[in-house]
Amino acid sequence: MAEEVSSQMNSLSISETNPSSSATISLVSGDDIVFKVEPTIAKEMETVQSFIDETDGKITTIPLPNISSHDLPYVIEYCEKSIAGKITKEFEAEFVKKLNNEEVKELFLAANYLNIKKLLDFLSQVIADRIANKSVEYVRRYFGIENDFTPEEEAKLREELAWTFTGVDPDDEDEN
Amino acid sequence: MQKAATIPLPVLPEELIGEILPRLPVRSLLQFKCVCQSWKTLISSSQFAKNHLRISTSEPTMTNQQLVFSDIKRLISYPLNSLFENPSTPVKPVTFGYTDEKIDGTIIGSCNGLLCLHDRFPSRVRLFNPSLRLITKISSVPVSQNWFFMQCGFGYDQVNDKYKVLLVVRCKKHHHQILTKIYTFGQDDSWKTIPNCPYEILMRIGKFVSGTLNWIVSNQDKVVSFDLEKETYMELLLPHSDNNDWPYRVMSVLSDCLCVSDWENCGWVLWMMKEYGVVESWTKFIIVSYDKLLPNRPYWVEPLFISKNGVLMVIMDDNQLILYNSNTGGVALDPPITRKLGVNPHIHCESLGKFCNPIQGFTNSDTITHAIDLLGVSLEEVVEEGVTSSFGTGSCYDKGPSDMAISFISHELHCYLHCHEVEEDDDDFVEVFRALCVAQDGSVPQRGPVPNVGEDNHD
Repeated sequence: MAEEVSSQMNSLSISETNPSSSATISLVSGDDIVFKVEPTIAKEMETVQSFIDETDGKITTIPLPNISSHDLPYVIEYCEKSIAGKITKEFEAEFVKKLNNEEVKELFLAANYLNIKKLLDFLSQVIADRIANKSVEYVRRYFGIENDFTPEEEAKLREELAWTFTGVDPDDEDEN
Repeated sequence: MQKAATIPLPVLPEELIGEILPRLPVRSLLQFKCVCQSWKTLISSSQFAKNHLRISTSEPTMTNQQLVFSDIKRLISYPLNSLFENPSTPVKPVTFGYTDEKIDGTIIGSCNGLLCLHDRFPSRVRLFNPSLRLITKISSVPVSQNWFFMQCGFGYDQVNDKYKVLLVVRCKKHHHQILTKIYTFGQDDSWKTIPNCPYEILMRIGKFVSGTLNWIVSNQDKVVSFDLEKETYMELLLPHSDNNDWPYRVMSVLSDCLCVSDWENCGWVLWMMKEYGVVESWTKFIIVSYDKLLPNRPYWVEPLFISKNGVLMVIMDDNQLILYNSNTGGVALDPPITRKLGVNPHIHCESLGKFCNPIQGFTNSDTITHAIDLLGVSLEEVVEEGVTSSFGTGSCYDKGPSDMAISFISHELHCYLHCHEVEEDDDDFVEVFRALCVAQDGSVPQRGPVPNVGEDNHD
């Protein structure tokens, strides 16, 4: 027990004094592109930070096989704004405006993988806003979900919920 | 895009779907039960309903928040966000009318997405979730017509997971006789008499906050608080004010905090009890000076809601709605909404909120309630018989009375008729039976001998 505590304290002091902890962190995307970021950015990404902590800050190149070089800059941009305390409604609106449905989903998965709570919450809301008031078919396509109801089951369910099915938006398909 | 060749189309795992769905409006969620089996199970779960309510009440866009008024025989519901964002543009409200939806009486409380409706003559109550169109059957009558109604309150007892209503009634003949009755939804259908409140109260509807109902005590600097779990009273001190015009104090609940507004020398002051029950936590939350009030010195000012960015909605004389920005020293964001919205305002959060003994409030429910009443069978007994598809505590929220339940009740009714040798021309039974048959298969049996619907289905 005492040994454990002392070794923990040891690791703490190492990471504090280790010069590499202030050096930039290299994030390597799934398609092998390297993005150099400040350690403060890495702190926003819990998965990356815990990786750094586990290796006492000795390893500063972190492979992120699940994230593409297309998505990673968006994640970094969001983290930068978050640190600067500049996440405004306007920024968020601009941020998602340029993203199509597939990209939003990819970023959402990236935020989950990197464990960035704020980005995950924000994108959850973005996806919710994009599917709210859409048809069941649209939602199935959006998420790639297979309908596992029998036609009879579905018809019965729809009949019971018939009163909710008025005023659904027409499906506007994503160009991609 | 080239990346599509290397990275497959993303499919979101189930736990992430669980992050997204609670942010949707109730109506979309009900529709999306048809997406697939796992979505249906998720959306129907009580844990999901709780998550959804928590997110709905905390999110700043107020997507699921409604301002509900009760008129004599209907409820009128306005989306709160449109009233805040475009106060001058009229929005089309949703109306729940009396004729098609069998709603009578006024709202006496709103909690967790449920409205408590009170019929005054005779005095009785029920719960209504407008988003699910679920309604409980009408409660029994607490007292005879010789009593008149004085105070009431509706709230949630979290410890026992029960919704309760409190009614205070006074005898018409002997005015000193006062009774306090309490009704617990989902328990046996009976009103329990409890000790009377030790103070005199003029305020009619008690305000629900932190598991308690609260009223301002007449002519005293006190609040009487009724604990819904323990069913006991206690008193809280009001903040010290420089005004003794007791009748003008108005109690409200904003951001889950008890508030009292008062007229003081500096203007209209809203006090907030930041921590319920802690008298030291009374804080002057907003002061609106007399010159900033619209219209000048109204008689009645009742706060209704405060948005996350500090805009306060109040209702004044003649049911005018006015928004005040608490960040800029209580400047009114004019113009006030003066068009007729309704009376008896309540804030209501759309929810998947559930309660015991629900009935889908529209097509066949009243028939079934009627049939059950006649049979003396409780809904719980129906559930115990295995007909959970319609009335069970879990899945009942998904569906209206199913064919199975109807045929079960038809069967019960049929057996009842045989056992009790009910006269063929007993109007009530025949009428109910006819309605059940219509609900079940669309056929209308001829008047006369009791049809054999029940037997056909169960033999």
